[in-house]
Amino acid sequence: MRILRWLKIPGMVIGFTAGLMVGALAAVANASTGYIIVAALGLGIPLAIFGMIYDALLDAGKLNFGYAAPTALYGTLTFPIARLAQEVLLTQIFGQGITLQQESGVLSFLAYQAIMGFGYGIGFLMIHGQIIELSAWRAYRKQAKEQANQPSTAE
Amino acid sequence: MDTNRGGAATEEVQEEKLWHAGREEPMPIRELPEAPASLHILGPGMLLAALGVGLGETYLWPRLVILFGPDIRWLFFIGVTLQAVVMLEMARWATSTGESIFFGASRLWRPIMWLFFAIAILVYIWPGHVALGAQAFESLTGITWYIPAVIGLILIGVIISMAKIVYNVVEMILSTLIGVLVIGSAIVAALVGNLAFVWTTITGLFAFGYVPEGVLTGPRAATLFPLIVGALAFAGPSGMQQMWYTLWLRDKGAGMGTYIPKIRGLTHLEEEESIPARGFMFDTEDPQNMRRWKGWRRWVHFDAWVLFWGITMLTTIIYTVLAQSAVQIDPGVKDAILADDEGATLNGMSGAFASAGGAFMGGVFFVFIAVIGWKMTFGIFDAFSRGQADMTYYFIRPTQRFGFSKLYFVFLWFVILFGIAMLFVTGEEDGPAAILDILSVLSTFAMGAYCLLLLGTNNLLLPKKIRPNIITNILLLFAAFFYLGALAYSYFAFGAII
Repeated sequence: MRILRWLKIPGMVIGFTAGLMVGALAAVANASTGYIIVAALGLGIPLAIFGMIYDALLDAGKLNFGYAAPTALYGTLTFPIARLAQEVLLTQIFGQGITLQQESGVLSFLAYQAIMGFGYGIGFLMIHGQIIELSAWRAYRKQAKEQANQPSTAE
Repeated sequence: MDTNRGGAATEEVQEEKLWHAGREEPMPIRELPEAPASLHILGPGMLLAALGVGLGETYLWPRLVILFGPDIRWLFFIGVTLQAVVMLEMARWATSTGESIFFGASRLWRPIMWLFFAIAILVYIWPGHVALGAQAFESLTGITWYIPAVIGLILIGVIISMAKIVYNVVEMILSTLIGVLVIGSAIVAALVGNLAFVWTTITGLFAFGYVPEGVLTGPRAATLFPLIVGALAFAGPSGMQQMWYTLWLRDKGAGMGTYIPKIRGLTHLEEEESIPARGFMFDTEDPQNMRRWKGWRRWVHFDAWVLFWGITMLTTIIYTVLAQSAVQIDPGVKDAILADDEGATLNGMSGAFASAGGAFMGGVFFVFIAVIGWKMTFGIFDAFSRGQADMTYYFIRPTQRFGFSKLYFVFLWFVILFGIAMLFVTGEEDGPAAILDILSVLSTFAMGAYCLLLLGTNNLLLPKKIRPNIITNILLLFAAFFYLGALAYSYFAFGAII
């Protein structure tokens, strides 16, 4: 079971790194330190949480490993929420978000972010799959499978 | 004498049933394996999308959008849609026979296959992509472009040579890089774009029939029209990439490809299995096999429409949004391109990023182009070597004693070393973009030619039950006309291809 819990790391790492990337962009755009931190964590934490939930859903068998359409849909649904959280946080604290104010309304903001969320979902899947396949994760999965199989074969 | 795997008893029974397809050796009948239980498992279509989303989407088409506005993109829409149809037909041949499309060509008439062998050499030995990527790298770091280009080329050779199964490594690297690019582009666009931009981009896709002023007639037509033809070839997978898709399908073990061994890395050559002299066919009269065939078609359709078409469109929407803002911010970009300053678009696009999010964002664009340039060369050199080795192995019989994998590596290292030599010969004056333009002309020709080839192989060489329907055939014919017609018009109307 401990191994399965470890497996939630890939989704979390991808989500959090995406947030950090936004922070890095804000940093070079000469934003204030506070703004950089909120911009990075405001997106990174929700995306990391959604990444963990994704892995948890995989473990629970609600999603299957390597499936493109559900992952893209997952990105389409969750990415706008993460972006909205980031924008609301920034607006609340600093009085200005990144693109929320440019849109005609929250709905059009969400619609645009959902389109980008599709892309995020597909990119997420590609990297996620490689992380799982690439390294020790693969061995962990094999071990986990073997452990799971042993009691059932003994029956 | 058939030396393939399988039990002796079944071998005897199966050898009695053969499918005679064209001129080469007939295909023994084997069982078609089950398709993946889920449609959603990533196939080599993802690899094709990963390779296809390249300089066309991020560089050549944004260049056209800067020149003519987003309405020019209806041509892109048609181009990518036709490519999805072509992809399905490539898959039809490869999954039903386990053979490459090159083998299919030789079944029609062997010189057709050698024609593609020659085109591949003419088009793909140039290190155009890695050169452009390195040019972006130079803008980023100030390091003279051919240094990263040469290092990039050598890196490709080393990575592939160390692989156990070459396909797996190629898939891993391309998937990861395209994943990073897609996530990166999506996030950048999420931060700088808005719905209004997407709307004009999407309506541009449906502006059917829009012809910008001065493209067909006028003093600049001779420059502009060929530019569009060139970019057409870069909508989706360009040139022979679709043909190589059949090789990836085979190495992935899709359909009858399961009966063909995989290419191994240089350090694992001793494990190489013997390769059958031709592909296999399944019994199309058997309901069980036909049910599995439908499963494979569903799998390929998902790959073609959702992954390939969807990802290509999405990436391209992102870059079109950015191209539009480039013009908005700096109208001088357009004039610079018209003055034939090839590098202007790279800088213009970088400027669009920069104005949207600070100087670092301009750097992000260069990073993307540098990664794409290397990734394209990585994918293309692998596929080129795969295709050439395939044709050499099967049709220059004396080479078979070297084994398939060794031939693959001969081509791979040849193209790498030739590329390095070319980078030093062409120098910076000719500019990497000039190489890219030559490539796009020959690409367009290959694309028209393979549409005709598919019409031949899939209608003449496959059992009736699994041939393409009339609509598909019409679309293939249209595609051939689309590519070859545009190329011919460009040549006869303006006297110049480029």
